[in-house]
Amino acid sequence: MKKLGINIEVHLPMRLRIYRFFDIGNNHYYYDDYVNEYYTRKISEESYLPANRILSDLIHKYGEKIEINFLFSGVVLDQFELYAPEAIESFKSLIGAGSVNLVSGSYSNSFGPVTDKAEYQQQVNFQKKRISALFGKEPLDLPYRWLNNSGAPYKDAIIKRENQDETVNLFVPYNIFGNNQVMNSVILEILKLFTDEEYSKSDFESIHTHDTENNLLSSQLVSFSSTVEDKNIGLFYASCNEMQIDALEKLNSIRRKIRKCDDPVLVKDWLFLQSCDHFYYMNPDLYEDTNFKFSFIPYDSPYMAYINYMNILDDFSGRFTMMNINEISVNEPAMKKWTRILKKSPVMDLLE
Amino acid sequence: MRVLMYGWEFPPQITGGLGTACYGITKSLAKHNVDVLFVVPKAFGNEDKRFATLQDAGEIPVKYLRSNAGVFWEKVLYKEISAKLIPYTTPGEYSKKVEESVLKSSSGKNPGEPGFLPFSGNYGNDLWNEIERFSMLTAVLAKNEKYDIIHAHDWMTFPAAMEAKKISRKPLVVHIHATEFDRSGRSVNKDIFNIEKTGMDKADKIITVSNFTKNILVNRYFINPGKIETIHNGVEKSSQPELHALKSIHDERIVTFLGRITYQKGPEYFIEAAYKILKKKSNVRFVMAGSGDLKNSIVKHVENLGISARVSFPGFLNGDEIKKLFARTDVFVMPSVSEPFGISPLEALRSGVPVIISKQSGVSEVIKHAIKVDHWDTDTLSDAIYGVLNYRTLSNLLKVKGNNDLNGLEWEKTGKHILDVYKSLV
Repeated sequence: MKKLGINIEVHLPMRLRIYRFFDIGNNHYYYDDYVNEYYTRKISEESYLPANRILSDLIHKYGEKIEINFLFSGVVLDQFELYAPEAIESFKSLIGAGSVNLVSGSYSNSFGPVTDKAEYQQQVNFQKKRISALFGKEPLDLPYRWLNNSGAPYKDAIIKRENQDETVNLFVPYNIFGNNQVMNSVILEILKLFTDEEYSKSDFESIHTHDTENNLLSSQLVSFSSTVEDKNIGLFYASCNEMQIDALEKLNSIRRKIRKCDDPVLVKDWLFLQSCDHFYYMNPDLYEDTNFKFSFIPYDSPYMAYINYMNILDDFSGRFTMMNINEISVNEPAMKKWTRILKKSPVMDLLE
Repeated sequence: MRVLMYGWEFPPQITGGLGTACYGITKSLAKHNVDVLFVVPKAFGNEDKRFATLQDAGEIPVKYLRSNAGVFWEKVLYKEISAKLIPYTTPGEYSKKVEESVLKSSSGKNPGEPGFLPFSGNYGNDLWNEIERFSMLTAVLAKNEKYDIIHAHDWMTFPAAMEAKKISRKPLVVHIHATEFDRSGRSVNKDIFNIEKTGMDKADKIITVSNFTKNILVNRYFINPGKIETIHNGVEKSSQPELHALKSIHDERIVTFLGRITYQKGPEYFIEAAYKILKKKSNVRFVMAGSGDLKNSIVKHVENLGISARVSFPGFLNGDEIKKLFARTDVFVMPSVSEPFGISPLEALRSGVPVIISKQSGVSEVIKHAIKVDHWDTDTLSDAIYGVLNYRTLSNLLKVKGNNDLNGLEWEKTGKHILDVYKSLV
């Protein structure tokens, strides 16, 4: 019996606040709590919860013929815990219904092994523990290589099929489930695959539903497999623009420092700052597409996205030379909470 | 085709964007084989020394001049009308200028002497008289000359152009380089507005230099958008090689503002951003080149902020001086409150200087590789300046790609587009 696999990545960017140059050295809080809360709640209510209901119906209807794989980033789980705990409950009950697997990826939704293999592996291990603690189910390693070269995902293709080797991948941004019109067409598309005729004709082994909101660079190649070929690293850099490469080099220059650091607040910031979302906003194509309705972009231009991120990295980098690290910004409410979460979680494993 | 054009300023001396635009348009029209009869009001003698040799012809209202500056000028007949009109004038500035010119003409006498200031008390009206006189004088010309179309640049020439249309019944194109709302913000002069509005209503077609300006015409002057054609300005290719970037002796970074120091150009936002930057970074010099009615108050403001040592006011600069300034500039800033187009950022890009421009500008419609900010948002403006000064990758990117953006902006294209408008009317 052929199985239909729907693979869904669940991730929401941890958006940075507008961080002014005069904040450098003076204010070490980097996140836009209001916007993050607003979008986490909105997308949870309008997309994740209804989508989970739809998937739950599909599982009931088709039983073993359907298989759903979820890939959660740590960043989105943090935001669920902070702003939308009901989303976690919803995923828990869906996972409990069977036919659902969890797959482990990186905590940060980072560039993965293309930038730092060792760190990537640490993040995956950390995320594995986190997921099994949260959902009571051991995650699998990602069984295949994940390729994506879908530039502006919402531009024209709502559902994108890609023939790759023997697998047909279907890319559907998970968040579009919140948009009624788009949602209907996606559901129709998925249901169509189940009509006997269509289903038997197709040689599907997997439908790949990919939440692409804000998490991939244009024409970027991200591989989640732990072995990376040099060719792919080359391809990756070739797809980045000057600002993205410069920012990535600056981020990499901080790696050395973070390894010597055991301050949980700094480690948490480090994890959040590695997300590829921040680099995605430096892509000029994003700002030229006036049809970009589904995504919130916190910047006016790729230049301001770059300046903002670079200013933050300047500040972040400066904090490693301070002696009183623990006193930094703990009076920020969200940071306090994260620090508490961190203390409960096995974050120290990351540092080995 | 022959065009009766009411323009401003004649090369080689051009004092602002309007003169540059008229020059570029005339030149490219000539290249497209259009004959231009180019009529300008003769400006104040004390403002414009290049007309000094013509001063004694003050009694002759119409002065013909044929220039030999290049082949294309054969297509252009230049006529100078004795009228005390200069672009960018507001009634207030006008009375000041009249006063200055009166004081000057009486040098040797005691300016304080009673009964010496004949215009006193009623200066504001003189501008309207002058506009009226200009249109009467050009009526003679409009009657005697042969032409297919009338093309007028900005409000002061509209009465003359409408007069010409009445006489000849030829189609009228008015070209809007700036509106009263750009120049004066909320304190709009009703009389100027009326002239602008009448000119637009009487015109057969309106050309605006940007969609930004087109929107002002639609929303504030209630003009049918179908009557308006947006035609962006171009940029002159540099005739001589640009100066190579000069290294500062004091390892000082230079941030430049270039333009009239008036409400419209947002000079106070530049100073506010300077103040914010200087609190964090001391090796930066802010150069505010230009003159204007806000200059004194801005200089005073800079003193009050305690940043006089870091802000320079070199005054009005000519072409060569501007090139020298650009060669040393690290980032150019145009924080205009309302800028219909804005040629100076293009000139900065031509010299390889990264630019930060106000979103409230027409030029932001044609340059992709520039940082665009709201003029009032001095936090973002100073962030952008800091970013360009501090992150070399960004500065290089804006420099190289911004310069490439100029490639699509030839005056020839502008001229061709204007010619299309002419053809649609003739």
